[in-house]
Order: sequence, then structure tokens, then C-alpha cells
Amino acid sequence: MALVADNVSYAYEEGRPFGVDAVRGVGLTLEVGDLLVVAGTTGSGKSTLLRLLAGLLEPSTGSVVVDGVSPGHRDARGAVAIVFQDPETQFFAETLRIDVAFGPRNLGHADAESAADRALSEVGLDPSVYGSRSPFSLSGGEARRGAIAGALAMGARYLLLDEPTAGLDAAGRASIRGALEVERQRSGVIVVTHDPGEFLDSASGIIALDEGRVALSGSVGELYADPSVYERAGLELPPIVRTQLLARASGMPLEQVTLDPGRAAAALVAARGMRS
Amino acid sequence: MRVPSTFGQYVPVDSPVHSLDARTKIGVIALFTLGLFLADGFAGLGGYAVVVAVVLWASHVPPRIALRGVRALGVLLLFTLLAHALRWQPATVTLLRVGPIGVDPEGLRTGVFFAMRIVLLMVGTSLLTLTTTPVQLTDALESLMRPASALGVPSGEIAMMLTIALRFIPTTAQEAERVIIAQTARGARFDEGGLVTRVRAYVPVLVPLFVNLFRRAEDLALAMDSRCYRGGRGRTRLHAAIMTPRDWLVLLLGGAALLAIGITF
Amino acid sequence: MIVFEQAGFVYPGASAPAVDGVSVEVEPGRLLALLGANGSGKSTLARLGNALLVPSTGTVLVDGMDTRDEDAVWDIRSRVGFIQQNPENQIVGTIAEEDVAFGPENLGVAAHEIRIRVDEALEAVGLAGFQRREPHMLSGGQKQRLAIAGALAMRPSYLIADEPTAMLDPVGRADVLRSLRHLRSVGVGVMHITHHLEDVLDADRIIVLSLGRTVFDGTPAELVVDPGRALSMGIELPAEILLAHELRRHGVRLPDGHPAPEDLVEALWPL
Ligand SMILES: Nc1ncnc2c1ncn2[C@@H]1O[C@H](COP(=O)(O)OP(=O)(O)OP(=O)(O)O)[C@@H](O)[C@H]1O
Ligand SMILES: Nc1ncnc2c1ncn2[C@@H]1O[C@H](COP(=O)(O)OP(=O)(O)OP(=O)(O)O)[C@@H](O)[C@H]1O
Ligand SMILES: [Mg+2]
Ligand SMILES: [Mg+2]
Repeated sequence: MALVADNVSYAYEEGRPFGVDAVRGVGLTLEVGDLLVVAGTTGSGKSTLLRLLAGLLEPSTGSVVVDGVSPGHRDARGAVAIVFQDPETQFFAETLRIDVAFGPRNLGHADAESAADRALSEVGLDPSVYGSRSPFSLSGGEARRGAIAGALAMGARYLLLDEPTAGLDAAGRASIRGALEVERQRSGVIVVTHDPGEFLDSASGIIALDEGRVALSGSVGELYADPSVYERAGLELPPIVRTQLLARASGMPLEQVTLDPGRAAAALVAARGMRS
Repeated sequence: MRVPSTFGQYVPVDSPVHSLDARTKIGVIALFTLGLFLADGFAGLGGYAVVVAVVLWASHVPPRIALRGVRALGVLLLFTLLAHALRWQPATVTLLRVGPIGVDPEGLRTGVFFAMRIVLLMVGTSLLTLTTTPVQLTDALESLMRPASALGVPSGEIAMMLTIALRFIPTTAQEAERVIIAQTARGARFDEGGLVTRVRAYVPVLVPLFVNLFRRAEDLALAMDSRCYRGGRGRTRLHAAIMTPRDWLVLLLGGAALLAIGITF
Repeated sequence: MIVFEQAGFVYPGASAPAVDGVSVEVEPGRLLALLGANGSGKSTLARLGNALLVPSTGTVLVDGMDTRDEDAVWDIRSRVGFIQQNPENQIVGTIAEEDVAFGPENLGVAAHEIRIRVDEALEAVGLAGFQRREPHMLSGGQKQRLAIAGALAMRPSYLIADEPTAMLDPVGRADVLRSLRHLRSVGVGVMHITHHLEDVLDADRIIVLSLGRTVFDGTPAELVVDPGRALSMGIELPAEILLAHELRRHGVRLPDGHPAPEDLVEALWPL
């Protein structure tokens, strides 16, 4: 049971004088319980890769397999849900509940409305308050969470998100991180972002794309062991991580690297204590 | 599902055709169109085909791009051809006969003639938009409409509206594609059921598309206001369009030649 | 100077004001940062700053001109450049140079002078050579820098940038931040709206809005001393600053301000 991409490539041609090789020979495996971060600069092919994984684009070469079948297969219908960049620009219904229920209803699920309400609570929007609101009247953070609920309601085994926290304030980002932690217990999650900082502590793996190719693929621990490839791909580690890596490099016996300032400080101070 | 790429979009290269004044190009194309309709034989069309091919070559626009619109017109062309060529239970001798339907040689000739004319018209006129930026185009229109502005027609504003419409065609096409893909990912089907079902299936595409368009329009209005736009009043131009001697020459000689082809053949 | 004096604004039909009695100045050669949660009124305040909106209460003065004065609006906007969050929606031209020329054209600048300004502005934001590029062939960061160039070509005294880095990757973001700093160094007064405090740690002044009101007005150093208070205003301090706080709490002696990773490690583990 996994979502597997094997050596997939994709080139955009139509509409352009010159073809664009957006994704080149990418391979990855996503299992339930994984939180895979896909990082890369603008134009590195992240969104294209997500579309390939969701079966919305046909790879030029290579293949995508969802639980043993191709994404177009009947058995794969509804197995993969995707949240695009700016998902709040896809609202169309009079109420948020109807909009969120659109996915499950299309899939023929009997209890689309209750799936919608469950998804809304998961992202921290009380269905009794927000269910009947017009999706167009929501604030930036609320709209984003509502749109993500639209994907969660489909009950997919694999959830793909494109830049879910861009443009949100601190509270909005935290609530989306929380929803993904819950979701992860029953599905595999991919988060695509050019600012992976906030997901590094919980990620099960990270892939960095550079001009459509995999520049780096491994666990976060492996990334920390050698961040040079990552930086060559135009990406940056958060300064708090850089501090800890630098400390390690200068010989401090630091076991774990974390984004949590409290834990990082305690570990650094303890490591310093070991010097004398 | 893919939204067809927009046809006739500006190709940013340098060429003798690009550097002509847009008014020259509009004038020449008007005469080309007129000539094309005057021509009543294959010799005339052949002449125009040569002209279009030479101009296309001189414009440095990849032929593949210039011909893209033709593919989009495929159905229309086929229809034109068949409408002229096919006869129901023809009385006269026919080229080919399948059951009651026959192919009429005279009709076939006419069909080919009309189809060729459409292709030439299409490729010829698209050379205008392929080699002229929308802003140059609207400036030219504004200048050609100037006599009308004396009568109170807001030619500057009309020109600006055209520019913006042209500017947002590619963006809107990309956006339509994005929304369609997004709703497809939520399980929407656009290819099932009867007509009503299919039309209804597009509601989740059209609503967001329009909402986004309005939002975009609002942002753009802010951007224009904040950059001091207030209609044509007191506006200068980066590329003040000037008809050079070369422009006049191309307009007069080229235009005369094009018209002559049509009248003669 | 742009002076907001007890400025307030209520959207038609809204029950509460979006901006409520804010007083602040944008001064030449200085960078004012504006922070606050989603919906706190930042964009509304930005629009009050160049007469895209006029205040319902209080006043907004640009170099002494009242934004309510209809005759002054044009003059005000020629002095105050404005860029928005979404780079796509603010590009008017169909190729880069046409877009940058749009402002100066509206100001009635002569053609040869526009040419100079366009090339200079593109150069200043690092887009020299992109004159003929179509907007939809530019990356997000490039589009946003194009928007900045469009404002620059008008030679404004002030620039208001509403979340100019929200949609950009680290490279694009650094590019835009660099362009804004360059403006400050040549004497332009900049108002920079953002959700990321780390983008504006070198601001000359920061104000934080909450429900339309100013809840903080001071320097970045003053804002970062109290993480709890910052969080209560909806501002998450950058993790590295919190780390420095924690280390100080543990008795580690660190250089003042917000030390770089190198300084932190040097203080913890001198070689
Ligand atoms: N519909 C399209 N037609 C043609 N080319 C495209 C299309 N969409 C993307 N591309 C090109 O493919 C490449 C990869 O684009 P993609 O959107 O996958 O990048 P990305 O990593 O998601 O970037 P961003 O961080 O800006 O979202 C880019 O060079 C882009 O210009
Ligand atoms: N055009 C409008 N009509 C009515 N209300 C509006 C309009 N624009 C904004 N508002 C409301 O005014 C308040 C302030 O909005 P504003 O856009 O200024 O916030 P912001 O701080 O820029 O938020 P964000 O960080 O999400 O961009 C919000 O409650 C918002 O819903
Ligand atoms: Mg993307
Ligand atoms: Mg805003």
C-alpha cells in the first residue's frame, strides 16, 4: 500500500515556443503515516510533480502507481486528494459546508455532509458556526483552512498539499500544522513548499528538487548531516537549525537538532556543560 | 482536459516585420484581406500563399506557432470542405459515391478554395498579433480612432481596455486550466451525462473563474490608480509610434501589390 | 513625509472599523514595518497611504497634502509608489518595459526620459535584459521585482509594499528585500507590510496592528525582548531569536541584539 512514483518525467510543450522539462526522472514512495516534504525554488517542478502524483498529468516517461494500480484506474478513484496553491480561489458554493462536501459527493460517498463537518472540525473551524457561512466571506486564514477541509473530506489515503501555509499569519500556520498531524495518522501526506522550515521537526523525509531533478532525498537527519546539496539547490535551512549544525560542526556533542527554541537551548547548554 | 493555448500571441523576437509601425501592418493586412476576397482563382491564392510564406519567414516567427490557429480551426475547415464537396444523391457523374452520398468534383474544388482562403486569412492576420505587442496594437487603434475622439468617443480609454483584455488572455487561460484541474481533483467530471448535466458540471469552474476575475480586476484597478492612470489625458508614450519612410513604402507598395494580386487573378 | 493622524476607516456596511485611530509617519530614507494578524487592517492602512482610500476619521497627509483633497490625489500618487501582495495582478503591460513605462507615461514624461527611467529601474531591481519579456514568462520573484521597478520609474519619494514577499521562494524573497533596502539607502521612505518579522529586523520602526488599532509602536529590538507579548499580538518571533532568549535565560552571555548563528556558536563554544 503506497503511492509510488518511478522515474517520472514531464515536459510542458503546448502553449510555449520552447518545451519546458518541468520534472525529470523523479522517484519517491509515500506510505500511510509518512509526512514527506518536497522543497525547491520557484519553477523547480514541485507543483508539476504533485499533479503527476495525483494523476492529473500523464508522465512523459516513468510511472505513478497508487496502491498497485495506475491513477486512472477505477480502484484508485478518490485515493489521492490534492490541495493546490491558493485553494481558496476554488470556492464556488453558497455555503462552506456544500463546498467542502463537493469532493465526497462527486465520489458518491453517502454521508458527504457529515464528512464535510468532520473535516471542518479537523482544521479548527466549528461546523455549527462556519458550515453555513459563505466561503467568500471568510478571512485569509479561515478560507485557507476551509479549502484544505475540502480535500480532507474526501477521505483519501494520500493527501498532497501545495504551499499550504503561504500568506498566513502565525495562528493560521499553527492550525494547519495541527490538522496535518491529525491527518497523518490515517494517510500519507506530502507538503510542497519553498519554505520547509516549519515542517522539519515532524517530517519523515525530505526531497529537494532542482530544475526538475531530485537534488536530495532522505531523512531530515541525513539532510542535517550534509546540508550543502540543499543549499546548492537554492534553499535555506532555518537559522535555528543552522546554529545547531554549526555547533555540531565546531565539536559540540549535540545529539538532536530541533526547531523548538526551548529544547534547542537546553541541549546546547547541556552540551556546553560537557566541555570541562 | 486542456485549455487550448491562445492563438496569435506576441512572439518577442526582433525582425523587420516586428519593427514596422502597427498602423502599417493594419493597413497592409486590411488590403490583404480585401485582395484575398477579390481573388477568384487558385493562381491568386497561390500568390498570396507565397507572400504569407515570405513574410512569415522574414518575421522570424516559428511556422509551428503561426500555424497553431489552423489546427484549432480544423473542424471548421473540414466542414467547409465537406459542405461543398458532398452531394446527396447526385444526378451528375461524381468522383466517388458511397450509398446516396457522392463527392462532386466541382464542389470539391470550391471547398478546397474556401478552406485555403480561410487558412490564408487566418495565418495572414495572425502575423499582425504575432509581431506586434498588444500595447502597440492598441496605440495604433487609438491613433486610427483619433478622428472619432473629436466626436466625443473616448478612444484612449477604449484602447486601454483592449490592452488589458489582451494582457489577461494568457493569464485567464492559465487560470481556467488551473480551476478545471483543481475541481477534477475533487472528483468533478466534465464528460459524463446529458447536456444539462454537462453544463451544470461547469458551475464549479465558472463561479471561481469569475470571482477570481473580479478580484483580479479590483487589484489591477488599484495598481493602475496608484500609478496615476487617469485616461488618455496628458499621457506620453515610451514608443511614440512614428510612420517612417520605410513604413509608408511598405504600406503603399506592399498594399498595391497585394490588391493587384487579387484583382488580376 | 506621510503622516497618518488618528486615521480610521470603515468599509461600507462593515460593523467595525478596519483601521481605527492609527497615528504613524513614513519618513524619507527610513523603513517602517507594519505587522499584524490576518485581517488586522494592514492592507487598509496601506491604501490610505496613497489615497486609494480616504480616511473615514482622522487625516492622512502626504508632504502636507491631504488625501481627501481631490485635486491633490494625482500629485500624491506620483509621490507614493504602491505594490501589492499578488505580483500577477498588478502588471499592466504585456511586456516588461511597457509595464515599467506605464507610470511615467501617465505622468507625461517625455519618451527619451522614459527610456532612461525604464532601463534604470529594471537595472536597479536586477532585471536588466528582461525588457521584452512577457509577464507570464517571469517567475514570481521576477514579477514582484518588475512591480517594484514600475513604481521606481515614477521616482517616488515613498514606497508602500503590501506583503511583497508572500509568494516568493528564499531567493526571490532576498531579491525583493534587497531592492527595498536599496530604496531606503537612496532616500525613499519605505512602508513594508509583512507576516514575517525576520524580513524587517533592520526596520527603523515597527508598528503592530490588531483589530485596526496600534498595539505596538517601537523598534525591532523593543518588540523582540518580550516573546509572550509579541505572541499575544499575533506575532511569532523567529525561532533563532527565541533561541537567543532561552540561552540568555540559561545564563549564556551573548552579544546584544539578535546574534547570527556564527556568533551564537562562538559564544557557546569558543574555539
Ligand atoms: N501550464 C504550463 N505550461 C507550460 N509550462 C509550465 C506550466 N506550468 C509550469 N510550467 C513550467 O514548468 C516548470 C515547473 O513549474 P512548477 O509550477 O512545477 O514549479 P514550482 O516548483 O511549483 O514553482 P513555484 O514555487 O513557483 O510554484 C517551470 O519552468 C514553469 O514555468
Ligand atoms: N473591500 C472590503 N470590503 C469590506 N471589508 C473589507 C474589505 N477589505 C477588507 N475588509 C475587512 O477589513 C478588515 C481589515 O482587512 P485588511 O485587508 O486591511 O487586513 P490585513 O491586515 O491586510 O490582512 P491580511 O494579513 O489577511 O492581508 C478585515 O476584517 C477585512 O475582512
Ligand atoms: Mg508551484
Ligand atoms: Mg493584507
